[in-house]
Amino acid sequence: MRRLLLLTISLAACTPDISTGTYLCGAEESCPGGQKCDGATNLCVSAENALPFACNQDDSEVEPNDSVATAQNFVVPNCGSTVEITGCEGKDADAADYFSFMVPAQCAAQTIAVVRTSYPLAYEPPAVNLLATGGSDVLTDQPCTASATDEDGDSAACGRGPVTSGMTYTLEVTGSGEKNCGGTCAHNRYRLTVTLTQ
Amino acid sequence: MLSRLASVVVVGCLASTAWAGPNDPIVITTPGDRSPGNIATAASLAGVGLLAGGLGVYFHLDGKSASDDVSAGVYTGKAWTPTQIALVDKAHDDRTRAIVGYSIGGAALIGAIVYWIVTDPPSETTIIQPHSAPAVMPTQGGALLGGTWSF
Repeated sequence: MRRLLLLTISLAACTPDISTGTYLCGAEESCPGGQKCDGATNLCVSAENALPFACNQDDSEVEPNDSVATAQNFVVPNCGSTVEITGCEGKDADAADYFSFMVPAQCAAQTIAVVRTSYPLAYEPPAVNLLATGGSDVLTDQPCTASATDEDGDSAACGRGPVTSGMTYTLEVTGSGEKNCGGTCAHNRYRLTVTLTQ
Repeated sequence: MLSRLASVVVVGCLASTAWAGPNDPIVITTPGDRSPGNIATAASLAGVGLLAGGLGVYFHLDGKSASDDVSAGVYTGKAWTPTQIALVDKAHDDRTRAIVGYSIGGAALIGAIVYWIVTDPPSETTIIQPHSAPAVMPTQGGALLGGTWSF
């Protein structure tokens, strides 16, 4: 009887024991069995403790910025500097976010804008475009350097495109339409970093 | 081996006659001989039991390793990715295989033991009744005392 009990306990050890709050949510809010993705922290927690997705209160994004005309302006002080923007898209019918900036006049003619977008893996990856005055996207995807990996719960996408000094450009952030839980997690928090290099 | 054992029994019995009376019966018990087929069947069952049990242990340890890799009691800083999902699936599958292995192995070993006991051939008992008669033969200047025994 005791041996049977020991064997039962021993076999039970083959069943993974995963405590709540130990893993970050995977793609499309995936979590260990019996746990759900907490929308506030991106942590896998017990189902009864999971909160719905929410945007950060301290984002630098200011609504309304849902069109090119109402784009939120930010300043890139000089060439070589990096500006960081935090925002949230896809929540409460907020389909897209727009941010505009002007390339400083003192930048060289062949200036490159490097845009990096990092975001939690759990929700829909955002798609970022860099629109020139005429509306064309000048950004080309490229591999990120020092990329966030899926392992740490964040993912990143990078792009670069030529910009002209003295001209105004608009960053467009929308949902990519991929990995969005069939639409139920079609939102995300994001962090944009824009760097102008020559 | 069995014949040697029988010889030992016989010798033991004969030795015991030294203490018994000359006319006491000699009892010889010879264990039954197992046929090669009988031994092979029992050995096969036991072999299957050990093999299945061994596989059960292998999958048990393999599943435990996968389970340990994905189990977490404190914040890991890792996302729940297909890697972790695959480890959980592996632990679950190996657990099932271990249970099957242990079950088959245990059943076969128990079967081998039961088969060995049930098919134990009966031992043969032979009782020998010795007959003895004293003999006194007169000799020159005396007599020779002896005896004869027959079985």
